[in-house]
Amino acid sequence: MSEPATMIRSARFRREREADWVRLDTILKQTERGGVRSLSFEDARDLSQLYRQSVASLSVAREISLDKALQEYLEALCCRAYLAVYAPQESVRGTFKRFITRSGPAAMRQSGGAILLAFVSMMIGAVVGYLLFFDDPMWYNTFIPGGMQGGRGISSSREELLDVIYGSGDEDLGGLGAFASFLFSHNTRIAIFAFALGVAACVPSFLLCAYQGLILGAFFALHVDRGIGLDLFGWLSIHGVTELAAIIIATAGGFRLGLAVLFPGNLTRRAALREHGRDAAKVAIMAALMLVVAAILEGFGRQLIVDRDTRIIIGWGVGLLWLAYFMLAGRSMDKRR
Amino acid sequence: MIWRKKKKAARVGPAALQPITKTQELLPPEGVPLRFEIAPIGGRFGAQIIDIVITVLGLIALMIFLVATDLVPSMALVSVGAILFFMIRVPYYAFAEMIWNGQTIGKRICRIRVVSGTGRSLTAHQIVSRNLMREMEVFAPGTVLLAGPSSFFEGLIAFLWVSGLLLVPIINKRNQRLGDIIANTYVVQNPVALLYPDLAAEQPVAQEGGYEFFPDQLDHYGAYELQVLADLLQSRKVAQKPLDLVPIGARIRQKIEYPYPVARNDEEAFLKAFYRAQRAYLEQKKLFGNARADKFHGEDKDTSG
Repeated sequence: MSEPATMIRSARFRREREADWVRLDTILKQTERGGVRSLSFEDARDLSQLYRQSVASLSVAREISLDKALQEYLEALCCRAYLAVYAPQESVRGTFKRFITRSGPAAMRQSGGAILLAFVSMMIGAVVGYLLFFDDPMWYNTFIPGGMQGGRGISSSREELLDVIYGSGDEDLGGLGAFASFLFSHNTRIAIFAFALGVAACVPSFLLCAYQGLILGAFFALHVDRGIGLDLFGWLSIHGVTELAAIIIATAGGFRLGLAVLFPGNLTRRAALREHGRDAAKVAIMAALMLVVAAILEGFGRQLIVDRDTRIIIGWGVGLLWLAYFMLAGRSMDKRR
Repeated sequence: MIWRKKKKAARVGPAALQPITKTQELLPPEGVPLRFEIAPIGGRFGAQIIDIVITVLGLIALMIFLVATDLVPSMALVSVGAILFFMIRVPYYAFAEMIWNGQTIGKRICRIRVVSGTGRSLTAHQIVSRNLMREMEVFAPGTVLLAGPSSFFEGLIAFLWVSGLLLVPIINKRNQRLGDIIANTYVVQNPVALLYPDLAAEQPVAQEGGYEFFPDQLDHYGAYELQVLADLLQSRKVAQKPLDLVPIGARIRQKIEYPYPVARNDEEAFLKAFYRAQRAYLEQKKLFGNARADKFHGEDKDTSG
């Protein structure tokens, strides 16, 4: 402060505060290199205080100073300090734990209506597919393209179908191979697109989900026609309960997005999309987790367990566990939302 | 975006000379809006390439391990690879952005980062949803394209999908991609703070004494010209070859009708003194509600009323 009287106002302003800015700058350099945890007690304590001071300085400098160098410096300094102060405070593990125990199931409960809607659309497809097959079996080839039939066409005999159901199937692929090829399969793509295309006013999601039901219905009808409906039921149950539920849930996520676009309520469409997107993303992650579980069941469970009743029990038992998890987990926290 | 709003054809003034960088203001709880420079498309693209290279290297290492230990039969290699790539990629982006405060390794190298549009910390939800949307935008249809679409129609849809969504950040005013819009995030340049010494801090020393300027001599210029002069005087210290200040000083003296000659050696002192006087004058005017953006401030009065 050599000659404050002759200095112009903005230069005096700068001289009085410059030391603090430089100190903040050094603290920030340390933070950017090693994170907030590497700071000493004094530095951590001063960081937030110096940040607020600098922000106040910036606000003043914008008004009174025409010193471009100073303004640019303060802008950048405050931005850096803001990023250091408002860094994500959650750990990766904590976030994951919170999702599993609370926010994931809560989002599922919030999306109950959409899940019901998706379930209904798949059931509509299944019933239609079932009835159409008995009307004219040629529908089977229309619904299920040759590549997906896996040797189970309308010309297959009862024995051939039973062989697929109780045989070892894709033995040469091995557990991990079957696991991966399952995830990469048709159903996963259906789930992904049913979620992603939901934004387009629900229509593509509905079509995809109903189409999946159509396949299911026709497939089921084929086996009922051969008198082995219950065997197929067991074969499908072990992974299908989880897998089809995952498709339904992914579709429900898509529906949430589509409903936000169709009926935004008092919000703008963008805000509604953002609001519903919170739950939709969680629902989609849940569906992805379920697909992984279904892949494990398919890759390992289906070959190891060939008894029909055991298959049914395991499949629906896992389904019940999912239901209980979604209904009950983190309930006590719901009121806080 | 002020430069856009001004009438472009009206004049070729300093407004046209201002750098064309997009900025986004965030409002932190402290109530002072902070301006971030939006990252250019090139930087984001570069960061993306680096990140893809990193994840692919991880994938290759893992695949070599799997093949060497004979865990995976060769038939399932492609599908296992696709799944592993997905399982490496998604956590990589999400965890990196969570741990390094909105930066992946590629973003670190390209000096860009993700910030939240809310003016608070990035939340896990924002990070996850913007990265999941990337899967929808690029990787899921991209995988369909690479794996060989089952029909021409499917390939066409996937191609249109990818190219359409890649256009979104280019068209978008803030270079946001779809995931950024949904998660309410922006990708910005890493702010760099450089503090230059204050040009007006001390009285310049000239051999023949101080310079004095009258108010009518300081009425010619505005803030823009002042800052150009400051840049010239600053860069004189930084640059290798000193800038010749004589023509600049002569030009200014002619404009403000400064009556006295200035010695060659004193040119810098003169300019500094002028800068100081001009800044004090303009800041004073600004304080009293008469902010002068540039030398056209006189004309502005007629239009802005």
